[in-house]
Order: sequence, then structure tokens, then C-alpha cells
Amino acid sequence: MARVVLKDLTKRYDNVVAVERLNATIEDKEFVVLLGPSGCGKTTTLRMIAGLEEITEGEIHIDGRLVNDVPPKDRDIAMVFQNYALYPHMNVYENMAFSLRLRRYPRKVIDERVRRAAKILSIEGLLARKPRQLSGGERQRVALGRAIVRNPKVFLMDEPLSNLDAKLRVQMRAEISKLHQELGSTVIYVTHDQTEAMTMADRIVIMKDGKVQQIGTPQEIYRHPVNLFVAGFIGSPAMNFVEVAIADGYKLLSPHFSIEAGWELKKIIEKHRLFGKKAILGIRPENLEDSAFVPPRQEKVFIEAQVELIEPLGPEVILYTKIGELRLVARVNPETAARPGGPIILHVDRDKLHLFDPESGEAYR
Amino acid sequence: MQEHVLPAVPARAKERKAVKPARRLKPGQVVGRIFLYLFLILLAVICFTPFYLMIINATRSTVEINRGLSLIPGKSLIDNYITMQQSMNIWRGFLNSLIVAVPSTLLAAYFGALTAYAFSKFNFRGNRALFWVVLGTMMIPVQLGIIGYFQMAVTLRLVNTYWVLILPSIATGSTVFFLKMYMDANLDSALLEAARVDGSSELGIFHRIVLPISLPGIATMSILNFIFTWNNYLTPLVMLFDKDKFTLPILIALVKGTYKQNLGASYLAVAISIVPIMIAFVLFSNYIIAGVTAGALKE
Amino acid sequence: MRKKENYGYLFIAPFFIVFILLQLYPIIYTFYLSFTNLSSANPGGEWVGWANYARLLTDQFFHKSIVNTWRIWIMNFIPQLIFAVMLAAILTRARIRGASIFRGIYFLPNLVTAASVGILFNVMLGWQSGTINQILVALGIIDEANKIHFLASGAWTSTFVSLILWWMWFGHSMILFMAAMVAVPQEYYDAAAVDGAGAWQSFWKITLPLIRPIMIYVLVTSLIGGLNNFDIPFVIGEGQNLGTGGPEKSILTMVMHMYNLAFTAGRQRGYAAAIAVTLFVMVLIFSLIIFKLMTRREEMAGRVLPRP
Repeated sequence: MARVVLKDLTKRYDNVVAVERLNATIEDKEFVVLLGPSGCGKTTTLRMIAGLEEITEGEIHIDGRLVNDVPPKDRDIAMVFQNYALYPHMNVYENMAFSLRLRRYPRKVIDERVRRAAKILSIEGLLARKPRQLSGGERQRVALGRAIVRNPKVFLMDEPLSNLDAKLRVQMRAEISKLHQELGSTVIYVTHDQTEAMTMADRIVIMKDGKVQQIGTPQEIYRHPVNLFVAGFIGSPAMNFVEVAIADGYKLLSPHFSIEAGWELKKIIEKHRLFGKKAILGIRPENLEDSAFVPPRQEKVFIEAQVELIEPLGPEVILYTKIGELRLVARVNPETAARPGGPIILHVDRDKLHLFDPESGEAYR
Repeated sequence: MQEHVLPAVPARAKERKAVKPARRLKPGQVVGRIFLYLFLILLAVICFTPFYLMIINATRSTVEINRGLSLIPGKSLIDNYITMQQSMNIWRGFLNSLIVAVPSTLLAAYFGALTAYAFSKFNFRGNRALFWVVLGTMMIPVQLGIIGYFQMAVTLRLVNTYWVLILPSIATGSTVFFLKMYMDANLDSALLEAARVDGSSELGIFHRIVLPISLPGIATMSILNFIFTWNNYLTPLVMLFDKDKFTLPILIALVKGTYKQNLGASYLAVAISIVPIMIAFVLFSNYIIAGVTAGALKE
Repeated sequence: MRKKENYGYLFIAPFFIVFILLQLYPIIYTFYLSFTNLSSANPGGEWVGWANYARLLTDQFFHKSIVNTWRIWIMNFIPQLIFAVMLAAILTRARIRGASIFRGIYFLPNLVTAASVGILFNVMLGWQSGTINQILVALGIIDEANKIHFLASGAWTSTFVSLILWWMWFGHSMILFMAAMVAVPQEYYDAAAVDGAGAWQSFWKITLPLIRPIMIYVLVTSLIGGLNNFDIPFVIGEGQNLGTGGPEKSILTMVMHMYNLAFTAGRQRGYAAAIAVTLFVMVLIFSLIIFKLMTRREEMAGRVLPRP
């Protein structure tokens, strides 16, 4: 049972607050991703969990034990570094065996574990090589192998895929997920790449400016972002934001269009008594479709716009449109007949709209 | 780790040459270049001739040397050697020099690397200020404190021992300076953190990670330190009293009084003291030049 | 971790302990001794205030040693600087075949034991059977009957000490200048060539200004070494004894005078310490003057070491 509990975790450098009162619980065997833009404090958090960074305030518990003052080597964690940090003067075998040798494991046990890890990662053929003779992907595997042999309670991974090219990254993403299922250990994974987070995580911790914005499963975060930051950060292309006024009859009024709220939104409007108030409406690009492809029986909620730019991606097409000063991005059916400069009628899936408080940026929910 | 060796100067000079397109020289330029080469060769001759004549004269008898200049070796090497050995045990001096230079070099390498590591990778308060002190120590010649050092050695009963020659090597500023620069450039902090997570103690990280990775830089500095200690004259001259303990330079300087009548033996003794350094230079010139150059990096 | 950073102190401790005990303390102790009359006659060494310094004012040998030290240094440094800069420019920019071989040969004398070099030249400068006289005869510059007794002449001896120092050090300085010159970006020269500058103008307008920081470094280190000149003048002088200072005491340097006073008959260590202190102050003042006169702060960041 390796549960990691972070309680009011805070890190200050001189006057700069890197991490502020972070609270999170990572359950046993869970794959948790710390996600956020650079400088949001995610790496600092990971390094505090590892024991590489001093904790200014707060507590870290691993497996029920307070580890604030426990040195990294005694925390029973293993870490995979962004640039792999393979020891250049040791070969692959020695790199993987290093931590076990330091712990004075019997030679036989070391050999067994290294070979098993090598097998899992299919790097048995590379054991005698030095790191500089390996490709990026191979180094990545060795770095993972070095963590695996330890059989630690918690794996910490600091942007482990960021130095790989796009194709390899997709492949390694799947492998790490598979590895996690096989090993059944707790993983805390830091990245700024939302795709990695969405595809790999059991739960995501989204951070900004040292503060946690939202913790939840990828689905929760995608469907119910708690504020404008999370809403804008998750999803690509990013969510469209439009200032609207809420009028009688659950009308969402913008100078450029007016649509009626969906069933769920109506409840929220009532609950928060938003009639006559201003709010920010969020519409994901994937909830805007070329009206030509909307089944006839669906409610007709349309916005008329002008197409500025078309980005065909294959399975879908991204339309950059404008209505007066307002710009909307839509992700539509690849068969669309839209042409740059031409008109388009966009259908809004009004059951998937988001409303945010314009003052605080918090989502109404 | 070979690729981490500081590139010596000519490699880059060559690259530059390769890039330039070849061009035809005008007749005036040809003459100019001939003179240029003659000048360079003449200087090379001036630099090398004393050593060459030293080696030649070491093989000639005093009578032959008196008779005149020769560029070809004589046949009296053995005789000169026997004469030389009669009044001076040069190999004893050789051994003594090794006894001083080897531990000095090792201490300078180990503690130099340890100190450099701390300055390079630990953010302790006063790091920068103390590093300036290290730079300052490079500017102070030993001559300035030699009297105080001698008096202190007398009090501690360390005169006429090798301790007073060896121990100061622990604080070799130039080594710290060079290795700090080396580690700043070549030692990734993530490696140290990886080792920390892997379970290494702080000193263990230094031994198992830092030392092996910095080895090329340490080798560069060690060759220079070895030559420097080997050549050191004033401190052993002041500190050592027994002829049995004399290092090579002290012994060689005594050649003057010893072999006034036998020039061949004198040349031979000097040659024996110089040739090892020449061999070291031929073997390690790139390391040596990298080390010498690094000293001028800052200040 | 705070604890981790404290290992930094632990790791630098041996260096600083040794530095303070074996390098700094001896210098401070030397300062103290310079105010005592410590000698064979007064092994206890009583406090005598400024007496030793007063004596320096009337010590003819000391005055001579200052002049000698400076003369020997200047006479070696000026040609050393000229040769070093010139050769560095030639070897880095004139596309010389075998440049690295020349570089190696020019640098070689620098590594060799100075004491051995001193003895070597002592033998080579001999009167009737000295190699240098033999070379001069062989080249027809002098004839057999007029061999020069170099080591009997103060002027010749001093000149040769400077020459030997030049011989030992021009290659060393050259290597530093070469490193600095290689680091000058080629674009500057290309730009100058486009602007119509010839090789000579490029040298004066680009190379020299850009290697100035290294020039200052060479100047300061050479000056410090020059003021502490000891090994070669100590062993080269004629006669069986070491440290005589040569004919007319023309190669008696300050450190040699200090050594002779402190470690030969009489052992006037208190007085000799006053010379060490004077030397220290001299080194300090001249180094500071050079830095003040010649440096602009931003220049100090060296550009010598090619980053790996």
C-alpha cells in the first residue's frame, strides 16, 4: 500500500512562491499526472516528493509515514528524469544495478532483477552498452529500467517523454501505461503535455502558479472544468470563450448571436440566479459542427459565421471563423464544404456548454 | 569520456583553415611565406637546440666537449654515467622527487575535485565569495610566506620531512578553478539527483559519479600539477637538509660544485632530470596545453 | 535540502583548512616576523618595531636587487610579449603547415625544471669549453682566441638570465594568446575584410583589442612571477656556490637576497621577512595598478576556454 498524501505543501524561494498549500492524495496503484504550464510548480512538487527539494511548509506522507526529513534514498521511491540522467561512465547493466549494489543486495538477486527489467523493456541486447551508444528511445527505456529494478513504492517521472520525437513519444506513452498496469505501483508523472495527461492518467492534478486548479479524472476535467484556466488549458484547439448576458427565457445573448441554454445549463442558471447578469460562455470546438452534418431530428441551434481559415487534419477539419469581432474555432466533419472567405452555419450542441463567473473565472456548476 | 576533453587549440584552428577556399599566392607572397617559415623554423631550432646539445654532450667525454661543438653523439655515455654516480645518487633524487610529486598530485586531484564539486553543485551561503578567495590563492606565490612557513615547520618539527612539501597540495587553487569550470560544463546535476534517489550517500556520489565523470579534467590538471611539483625548487631547498632526501632539482643544482671538471657527467645529470618531462610533454601535450589555457579563463 | 547544502561546507573544508594553516598563516606569520630581530644571534626574536624596514632603506644590496629584479623582468617580458602575440597571430591566422608542431616546440622549454635549465646554461655559457662560445665560433661570429667569458660579466649574465626567461616563457604566453585568438569569431574578420581592411589592419583593429583581457592576464601573472624570480638566477651564476648573485651582483634578485639572508650564515629571518613583506606589497600594488589602468569590467569575462 503506497498512498502518497500531500498536506498544505508549500515551497518558497526567497520571495517567490513556487508551490502554495497543495493538498492532494494519491491512492495506491494510481497513475496521477501533475499537469500545468511551465513554471506552475509541478516539477517542484515532484522534487519535494522525491526529497530533492526542501519543503518550506506542509507535510508529505508516503505509505502512512511522514517523510519530510527522510532523505531521498530512504523514501522508497524511484525517479525517471527528463534527460534520463544515465550515468555516462557505466554501461546499461551497471546503471540499472547501481541502486541495488548501493543497498548491498546479493549479486544473484541483482542479476535476476536487472535481467527481468531488461526483458520487460526489451533491452536485453543493450546491457553491455554505454549510454552514449544508445538512441533516445533506448535511453528512455534504460531510465525506466533503472527505476523498475528497485521495485519502489512510488515511481516519480519528470517529463520523461519530452526529449523524444513525436512518434516515439506516442509509442512510449502506451508502453509506460502498460508497464504501470503490469507493475501495479503508484506513479506520479509530471508533464506539460495534456495529451500525455489525458491518455495515461487515472487522475490529473492541474496546477497553475503554484496552486492546484482541479483534481479529477481526465473525463471529469474535460467535461467539468472548474475555471477558465482549466477549461482553456485542456482540449485542443482550446475552448472558445464568449461574453454573454443572460436574459429571460434562458437566452444567452451576445452582440453576435443568441442561443437558448440547454437543460443542464438552465438548472445552473436558476441555481445561481443568473438572470440579467453577465457571464462567460465556453464552447468547445468539438461542440460546434457544420450544420450540414447535423441529423434533422436534433434541435436547431445555429450561429452564422464567416470562415477565415481551414485546417484539414484528416479525420476532422478545424475551422477558424469570425462573426464581427468575435472569433470561434470549430472542429467539424471532414466532408465540410466550407471555404475560406465563405459563410458557414455552425450548429451548437447546447447540452455541452459551460458558464463561468466573469469576475472570479470560476465555473458555475 | 574522450569527447569531454577540452578541445585543444589547433583542432579549431584547423577547422577554420579547412573552411577557407584555397587561393593562389602572388610571387611576392611566396617570398613572404618562405621568410615566415624560415623565421618559425629558426625559433624552433633555438627552442630545441639546448636540449639537443645537452643530450649529445651527455654522451661525450670532457675532452671531446672541450675540443669543440658536435651534433653527433659520442661514445662516453657509460663513462659519464659512472663518474656521475660516484659522487651523486641521481636515482635516489629521482625516487625522492616521485615520493613528493605522486602524493602531492593525488592529493591535489582528490581535494581539488572535492572542493570544485562543492563550488559547482552546492548552493551554500558564501559560495561565490569563497570561490573568489580560491581565485585569490592562485595569485599568491609561495615565496612570500616561505620564512613564516619554515619557522612554523621548525616549531612543528616538520622540517626535513616531505610532509611540508606534500600537504599544501590539498589547497591547489588552479585545480579547483579548472575543475569547477569543467564540472559546470560537463556534470549534469540530474545525475547527482539520480544517484541521491538511487541511494548514494553524498560522499558516495562524489566517489562513484563525480570523480569518474570528471576524470579527463582531473587528468589534465594532474599532469600539470605533477610537472609543477616535480620542478619545484625553492620549498624543498629551504625545507630539506639531508642529501638523502634531496629532490631532483636540488640535487641537479649541486652539479655545479660537484663536476666542475667533468662536463659530460654534468650534462648527463641535467639530461636525466629533463628528459622525463620532455617525454611527458610529447605524450600529453594536448592535456597540458588545455590545462595551461584554462588558467586564463577568468581574472 | 538544507542538510544537503551543508555538505558543500564539508567538502570545501579540507581546502580551506590547509589554505589557512599552510598558506595564509605563514604569510601572516612572516608579517609578524618582519617586526622582530629573529636570527641565529637572537633565536627568540624580540619585537623591534620598524627597525628592519628602516634597515631596508640603507641596504645597498636590497636596492640593487630591486633594480635587478625589474630589469631582468622587463628585458624578458617585452620581447616575450612581442614574440608571443606575433607568433600566436601567425599560427592561428596565416595557415601555417605543422602549426601544432611549432606550438609544441615553442612551449617545451616552459615545462622543464628551471633549476636544471639554470645549470644547463651555466655549463653552456662556460668560457673556453662552453657550448655557446663553440656555436659562435662555428658560425664565424667570433674567433677561437676571443671567446667571451659571459659569466664573468655582470651585463652578460643578466642579459642571459632575461634571454633564458624569454626562451622559457614566450611559448607559454603564445599559447594563451592563440586560445584567445581562436575564440574571436570569424565574422569579425569577414566584416572587416568586406569593409576593406587588410590583414595588418585586422590585426590592429580586431585581434589586439579583443585579446586585451588575456594580455592583462599575461602581464599580471608574468609580473608576479618576475618579481618572485629565483630559480634560474640562483643557480646560473659562475662559481661553485649557488646564489652568489653573479658578477657585480647583477642577478641578485629580491627573493634571492631574502633567501640568502634567511637561510645562510647569520639566518637573519626577521630582516629577510621584511623583504618578503616589501615584495608582497609591491606585488599587490602593481597588480592593482595594472587592473585599474587596463580593465573595463565587462572585459573580464574570459573567452579563452572553448566550451566543450
